[in-house]
Amino acid sequence: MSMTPEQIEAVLADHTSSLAMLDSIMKANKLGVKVTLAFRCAHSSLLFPADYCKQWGVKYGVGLGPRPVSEVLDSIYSVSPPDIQRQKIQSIDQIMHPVQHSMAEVHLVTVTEDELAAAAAIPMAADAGMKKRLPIIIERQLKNPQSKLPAIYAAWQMKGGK
Amino acid sequence: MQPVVISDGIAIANGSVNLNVIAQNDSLLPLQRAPFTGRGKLVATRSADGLKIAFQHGDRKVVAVSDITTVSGSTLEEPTHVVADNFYVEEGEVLLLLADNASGGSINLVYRLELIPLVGSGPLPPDTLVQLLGPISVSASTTDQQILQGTDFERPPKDAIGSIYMTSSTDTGTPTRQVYVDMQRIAPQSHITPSNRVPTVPFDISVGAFECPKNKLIQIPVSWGATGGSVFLRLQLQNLSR
Repeated sequence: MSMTPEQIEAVLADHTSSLAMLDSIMKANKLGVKVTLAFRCAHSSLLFPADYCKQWGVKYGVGLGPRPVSEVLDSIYSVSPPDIQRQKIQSIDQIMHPVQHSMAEVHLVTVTEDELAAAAAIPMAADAGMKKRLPIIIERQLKNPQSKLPAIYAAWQMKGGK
Repeated sequence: MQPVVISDGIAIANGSVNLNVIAQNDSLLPLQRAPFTGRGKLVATRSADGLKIAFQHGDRKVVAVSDITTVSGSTLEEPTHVVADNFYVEEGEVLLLLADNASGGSINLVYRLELIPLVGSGPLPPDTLVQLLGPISVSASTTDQQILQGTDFERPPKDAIGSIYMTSSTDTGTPTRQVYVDMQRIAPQSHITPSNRVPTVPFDISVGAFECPKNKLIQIPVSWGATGGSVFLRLQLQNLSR
């Protein structure tokens, strides 16, 4: 979504006294390249929209402290997935390494609108119960060499689990 | 006699209620029951929203089903991550830590339960009960008349001295709170600190040391201006009898 110069200036004013970013965005837009502001997670490089810091505690990051940090979920490979017997696991969806909010720094950057769409992070408020993020996380956990998930999945399926 | 520390970090499966977290770890099974009479402290964090815990010793509930602080990493810090630090267990009582993960993903619970031995005989002091809640969403330009609606300690089980700690997710819209006990206002409308986290002792004190008679309603209305937001609450009830 395109931002007007006034909207860009309003976001920049909260973070810097320089309008150099506004100049570079306007130049790029004149050349036909749609550039906008975003906040990049320092850990995952995923992008949050330009109102991320302004709407901290309202739309984003509720409960994550007073300073805007990244909401992006990270897998904790040093902690084993829940014990199948002891926690009475009934579905393969319950078998995964635990996740944590990365709480990494977020940096104000200029990106093209295509880049923003391709690397957009899914905010907490838009994904109650982690339903959208979970398939992405499990896919990553299955591929990560540190993960115990592939072996546990194989054993689960051998025993006829679903 | 030395203090005992029960400490673990465990993944709680999504969509599950774990009725006995301590027993999940074989090495902690000998500590399932209090080895001596002592004073207890519980410190805990979770790695993502959606996990709640509760704690009781014997049949005495100390921590009602509560949201705890969300952190990245597994370091427990005091006093910011302390859940309850003023309860007294008798030798042989079962220590039950419950974890309820209603979210869609596995969440890591890191906890530390410390027991410090008490020397001498005589009756034990009463426990201080704790409930942590949040985020409790309050819509824009509205007043939620009772954010404790339906919670365990909305009506204290015993005569107690109460303390309330509160934070809000944002200052935009100027959230305020009042406190009533048994329909009497004991705290007028006042601003809520915008710390955007589960309240910590003593930094987020909102109202301290007020009388809570047994079974009398504690009511906390919260009002919010144009934007709305969420509030976080810590209610502590220091029982006056065991």
